[in-house]
Amino acid sequence: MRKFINLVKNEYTKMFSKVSTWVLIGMMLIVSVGCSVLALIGEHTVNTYLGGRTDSECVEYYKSEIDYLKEVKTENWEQEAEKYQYKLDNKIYEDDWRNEACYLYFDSKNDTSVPQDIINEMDNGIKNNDWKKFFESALSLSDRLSEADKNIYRYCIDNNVSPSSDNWKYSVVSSLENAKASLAEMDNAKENGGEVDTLQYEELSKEVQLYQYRLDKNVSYDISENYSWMETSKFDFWNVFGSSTAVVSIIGVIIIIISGGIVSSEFSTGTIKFLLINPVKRWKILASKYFTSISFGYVLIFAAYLITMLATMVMFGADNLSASYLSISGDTVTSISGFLYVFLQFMLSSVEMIVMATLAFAISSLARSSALAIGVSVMAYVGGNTIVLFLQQLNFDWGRYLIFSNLSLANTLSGSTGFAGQTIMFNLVVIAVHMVVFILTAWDGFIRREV
Amino acid sequence: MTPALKIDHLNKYFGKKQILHDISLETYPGEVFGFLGPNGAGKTTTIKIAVGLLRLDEGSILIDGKSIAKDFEGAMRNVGGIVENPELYKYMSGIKNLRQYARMRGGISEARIQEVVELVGLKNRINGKVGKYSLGMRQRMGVAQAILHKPKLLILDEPTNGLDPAGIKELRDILKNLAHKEKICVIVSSHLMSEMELMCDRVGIIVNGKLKGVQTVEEMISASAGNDSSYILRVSNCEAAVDLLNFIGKDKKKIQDDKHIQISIPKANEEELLFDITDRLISSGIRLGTVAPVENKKLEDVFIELTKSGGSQIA
Repeated sequence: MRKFINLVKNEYTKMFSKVSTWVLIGMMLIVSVGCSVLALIGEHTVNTYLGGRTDSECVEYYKSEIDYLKEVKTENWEQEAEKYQYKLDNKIYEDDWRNEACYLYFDSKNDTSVPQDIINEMDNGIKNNDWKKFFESALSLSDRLSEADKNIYRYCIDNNVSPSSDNWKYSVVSSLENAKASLAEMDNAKENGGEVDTLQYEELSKEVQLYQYRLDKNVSYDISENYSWMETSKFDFWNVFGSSTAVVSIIGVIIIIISGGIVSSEFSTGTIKFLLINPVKRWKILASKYFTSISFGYVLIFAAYLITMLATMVMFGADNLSASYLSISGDTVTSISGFLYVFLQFMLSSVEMIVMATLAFAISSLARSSALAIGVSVMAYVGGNTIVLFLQQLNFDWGRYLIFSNLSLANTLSGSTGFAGQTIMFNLVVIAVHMVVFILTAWDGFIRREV
Repeated sequence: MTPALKIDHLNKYFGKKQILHDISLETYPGEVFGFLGPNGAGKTTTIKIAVGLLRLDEGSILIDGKSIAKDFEGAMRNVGGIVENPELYKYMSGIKNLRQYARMRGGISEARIQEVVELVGLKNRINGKVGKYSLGMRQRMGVAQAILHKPKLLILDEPTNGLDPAGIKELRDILKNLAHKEKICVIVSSHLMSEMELMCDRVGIIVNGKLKGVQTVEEMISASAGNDSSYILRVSNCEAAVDLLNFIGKDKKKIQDDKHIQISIPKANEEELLFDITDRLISSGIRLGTVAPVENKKLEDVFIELTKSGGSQIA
């Protein structure tokens, strides 16, 4: 064991004495930090494009609407104009609960059947920015409120949850009740013999489960909700950090380069002779080289994880660090820490790296050519997915047995497999078979060969 | 005494071609053994098998009594060597290279590394990158890594390659010292036969994969030189001198040119005969200028003689 540690130490010394290794590490650092820098730049571009109206823009908008209504005089224009004027007077802009409240208030006001004292209460609630008073009075006109709104208002009053847009409990309870309402509608439709989109139904039931769990367990931030900024167009620490798993593919190429040269370079420089004239069996030397390249891969992945985490924290702030990732299997919701979740994503992406590095290692040991080993493996690493897509298009089902079709464990776990019915076990068996073949090839090339 | 290296009935094939034919030899601690042969004779192949670079097909090899087939690590613990060129990691300094080998062998202190560096004369350059070393310096590095762990058997394939004359002398002294004082068995292969003559105690000659014989250097030279010593005499009258020396057989004397004759006399009573010859010449009125001994045959000549059967084509 001591001897093996010394061998690995030797390999690491050699690796770090090479300038090329440092160049590769530098590239990895640039990519690790670069991801969040790009996201930061991207955030500014996207937000100026999609962002809502600012307060002053709202004032302009209300005024122009009033002018327009006065000029065109459409049906009920006076009521409409009054609404804008009301908002203008009370400084009700976007992202304010009173924005929604206004609609209910004006509907009730224009309905003669609503008692005047309730309308006054509502008016007071809005004017004094007193949401409790408004919700209480709104609840008393039960027939005007939807079931979902009633539940939301009641929840807010009972749990003292203020309905501001940045209060997670308010947005969760709103989403929960709206999802419940949609489910109820679908149930209704089913009873009346209508067609129901089962996929959508399942999605909604899952959502209900997740939101309910968050309210029950007080989970303020669920990463699974907006894991990808590509879907939400909203950048924050978690979705930028979460998408940094792309760094692993850069590390994959680095490790392929190192694995592809670690054996063959000893042959091409002739140093293999001094390496083998030592009281060390050849398989130990081979194993130490393999261990070195794979372990270095994981060192880089850990480093990339920490670096991207810190860089993203610096650029997007360190909010919601206690966030969780919620997932559902069957009827149970499981919650893991966000940091653990992203880490697991890194680990799952590393499987492809190991397999391709092992391929490079095998070719390097068999053909003693770094160029061949690195070339073939990088091509497989980069082009593998394209091959799989091509086979899928052509409906070649045997493609499922290819190594390339079995490397995206994260996809299999989330249920989106390239070929129907691939399981994680199937993936692992195919990977194991290939790994055994690669390692035996490397073994044969190194142990039995004459130098 | 346990032989440092014992090769027993070694055969080696590359494909169907037999490279080594039934080689057996033993070398002992305390001697410098020269392994000689023309290009392609099988010297390097034999060395490579002994240090585990090539597979052992038939026969057995014991290093300090340990079989390389059965106890590879045990056997290799007692071997140090340079095979072909001294190729080191060019992108590392000399000292880092040596530490690599120290770690692989275990139990080598930093002090020992420094001691070896000093011994091979690289003290001032050891922190420089090996890529900037000259061939001679790399050769010294090769020797340094080979003796780092105080092996009982030191195998050096053409160690004087690329060394300057001073370097060759230094290396010769180092190797002789290791063998004679520290009782290491040193095996050296080289094409420089004169060099071998100065360095080796025993020599094995290998031709076309066959071991032609193992002898001490003196044995080898005297065996081929025969029982006579030769002298060249400078005389005033060659013909008269040849006639006068009638007690020497006709084939043992000859006229070289108009001033010199060469004679061969038995080593047994060489001195007596020599005095007798000079007396006779002088007393008969022939003037005698010089009497010069003809140097004995060198290992080089012996070597060429022994290997010429193979012709000039590489086997």
